[in-house]
Amino acid sequence: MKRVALASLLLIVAACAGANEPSDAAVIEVFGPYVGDEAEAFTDYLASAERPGLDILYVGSLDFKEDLAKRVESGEPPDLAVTSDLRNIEELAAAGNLVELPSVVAERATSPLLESADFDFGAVALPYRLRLNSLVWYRSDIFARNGWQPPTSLDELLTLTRNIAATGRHAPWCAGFNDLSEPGWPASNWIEDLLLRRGGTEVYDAWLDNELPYTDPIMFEVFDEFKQLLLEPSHNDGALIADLTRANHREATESLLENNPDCVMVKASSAAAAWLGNPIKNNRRQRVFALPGASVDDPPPLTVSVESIVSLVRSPEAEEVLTVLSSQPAGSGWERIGGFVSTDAFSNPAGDFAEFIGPVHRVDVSESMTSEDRQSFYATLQEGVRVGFDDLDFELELLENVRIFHEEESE
Amino acid sequence: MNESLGNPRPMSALGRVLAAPAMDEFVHRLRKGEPPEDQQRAIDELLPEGKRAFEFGVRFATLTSLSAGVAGFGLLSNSGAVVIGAMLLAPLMTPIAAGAAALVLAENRRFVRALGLVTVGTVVAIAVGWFVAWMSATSFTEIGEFPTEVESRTFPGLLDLGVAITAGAAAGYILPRRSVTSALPGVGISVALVPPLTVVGIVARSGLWDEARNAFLLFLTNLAAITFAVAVMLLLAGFRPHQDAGRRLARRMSITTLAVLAVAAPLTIHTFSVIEAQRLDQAVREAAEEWDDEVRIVDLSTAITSSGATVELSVSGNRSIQPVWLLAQTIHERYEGPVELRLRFQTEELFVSVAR
Repeated sequence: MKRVALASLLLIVAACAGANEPSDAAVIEVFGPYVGDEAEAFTDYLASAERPGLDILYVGSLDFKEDLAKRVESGEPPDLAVTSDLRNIEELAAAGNLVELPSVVAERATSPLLESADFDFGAVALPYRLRLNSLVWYRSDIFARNGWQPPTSLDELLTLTRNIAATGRHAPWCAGFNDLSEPGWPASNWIEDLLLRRGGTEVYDAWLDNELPYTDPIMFEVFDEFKQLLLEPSHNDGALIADLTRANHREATESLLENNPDCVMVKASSAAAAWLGNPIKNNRRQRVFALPGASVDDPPPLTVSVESIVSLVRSPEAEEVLTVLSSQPAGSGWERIGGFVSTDAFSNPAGDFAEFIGPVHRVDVSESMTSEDRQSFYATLQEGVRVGFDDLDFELELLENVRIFHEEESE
Repeated sequence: MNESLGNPRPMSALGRVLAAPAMDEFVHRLRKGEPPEDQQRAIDELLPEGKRAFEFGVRFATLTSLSAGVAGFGLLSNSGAVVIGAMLLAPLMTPIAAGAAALVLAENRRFVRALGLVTVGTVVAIAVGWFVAWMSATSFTEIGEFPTEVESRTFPGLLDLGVAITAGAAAGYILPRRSVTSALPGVGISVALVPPLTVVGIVARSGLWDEARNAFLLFLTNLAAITFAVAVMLLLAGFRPHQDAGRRLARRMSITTLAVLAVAAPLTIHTFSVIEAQRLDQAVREAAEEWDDEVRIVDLSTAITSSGATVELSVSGNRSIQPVWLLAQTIHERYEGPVELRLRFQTEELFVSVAR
């Protein structure tokens, strides 16, 4: 008896390249996490480094991080890869799996963010694009109809959330914490942003340096605030709280596009312009505000992901591609879909999201964690959301024990 | 064109070509003599005149509705036999053939009446298709979810044009010859007129406007090709305008030819799309075998857009999955174009159990 067993596994991969390459041309493979429109935009940018006899093949995977690790392990690395996982870049560099950037590229590969993040990369990563994670996309037409205003403090945000829920017409938030690559990361962005606001940069930096215990009272405060904002049954569009852990992040945010949406706000990064539409240029009904600071006087701080290109195979062609790419305006491919934020946006605010750029910004914590810490953080968030964080003290203590275990193991 | 025809309007370039003496000569060269009287009567009787015209109209509308109803239910139940039954009931061929004959005989009144009947039949068949879909609560979001009998009529190609022209020629041969009218059902089956219209109504009810447009294109293909082919066959049989209208005939035939060419253009594009889709399909199957020769393809659907190919692939295998990026890359190499792959992988497991 033969049966088809086990749940099916869905994987999505995109492969794009410049058209009509001659068969004898050298091909440089770039591996990355973009699929769909983002893959197309990125490929347009890569195409600027193609020439007769040199083609670039972009291969994208939603399981990018795991696939990259396997490829490196099996000795089949791509020539170049694009990633925002800072810790992974550091680990790959430490293991000798990254090739140093050509000196001319290294001179251009500067980003104040990376420098402040205190990562020991050497000159192996060419910062390419920023993702501003601390944004809230909202329906400006429904806000205007009801007289709601984008909030200017976290307390106002909670009040607004409760007011929207009280109308009974729309849920305040649409949320989905699932994702094919790493379930749980959308919830982690909430915790990171709330901690940066409630704890300030010093506390946030301590977390970045893995020196902030999850049992610290500030963590309890932040997780509890997340619970109050999102996990009240009337505050989100899930029939059950557990639905939030099952719903896909992108699909959940897309409900904002409907004529009569289930919700009026979603928390998503600047990259969401690829599917929610560029809120600045096209003057759409869905617009953006930065998640407000703790008080009216605090400018909204930003958590940011830095997407960088790294080189894994030494070759003159790969060096040539990096050299050309580092000299090109990286946003050229993204004009059609929007959502591009330049790596020098904090020193030279310009472009679609310039109005949200303030003086306080930090790199995304979870992308700076070791993969073990990150996985346990995400898994705890998913499990906590599923049960509505009904025993927050216990869940944070568990998380702290896992963190200590990983720390001791690495020592 | 000259002044004796009483048309003082300036002629377009196209008009000058159509009315050129060479064209007139071609038409007149075709003249071999009058067709037998019984053949002329058979053609004249296609569309009854006077009192009988109303009865004919009622019978036409009733049969079209019933035929579309049968076609609708047959299509939704995916029954080819029932759909063929609907084709045999469909009376649309008569006004189309009558219209083609009126074209050849330069009988404008009859041509307008025929056109009117075809229009009525078209509207009725689409409306019945919509109604059947509503009554059976059929509403899908993708054409792939419809039965194949529906889906296959939303992607016409050049082959459909070939079928319509040859079957239309057969109709043109049969219609004046009462002795071979037993072959007429074959024509009706070959160029199904009502099912594509019913499909228009069915898929439009689900809001699939592109597919509805394609099904309507299939109907237009049949309409134009049959009109053209019937007209040519009648001309070859010796039918000519009753009066001195040979020159106008040349222009009419040219317009019919242009109509056929007009539907041939989108059909050519569709045909190339089919060839391209088959090439992609082949590339995916070969790449999957190269990727892992032990996997079995459970389901495959592909789409080609301006930004590249999208492949939805379900496979099952009895060992762990090979790197998916490698499959995408292999498809890309074989297809030689951008590919987005969505892969669903199922693990096949063998269970053995005994109870004695």
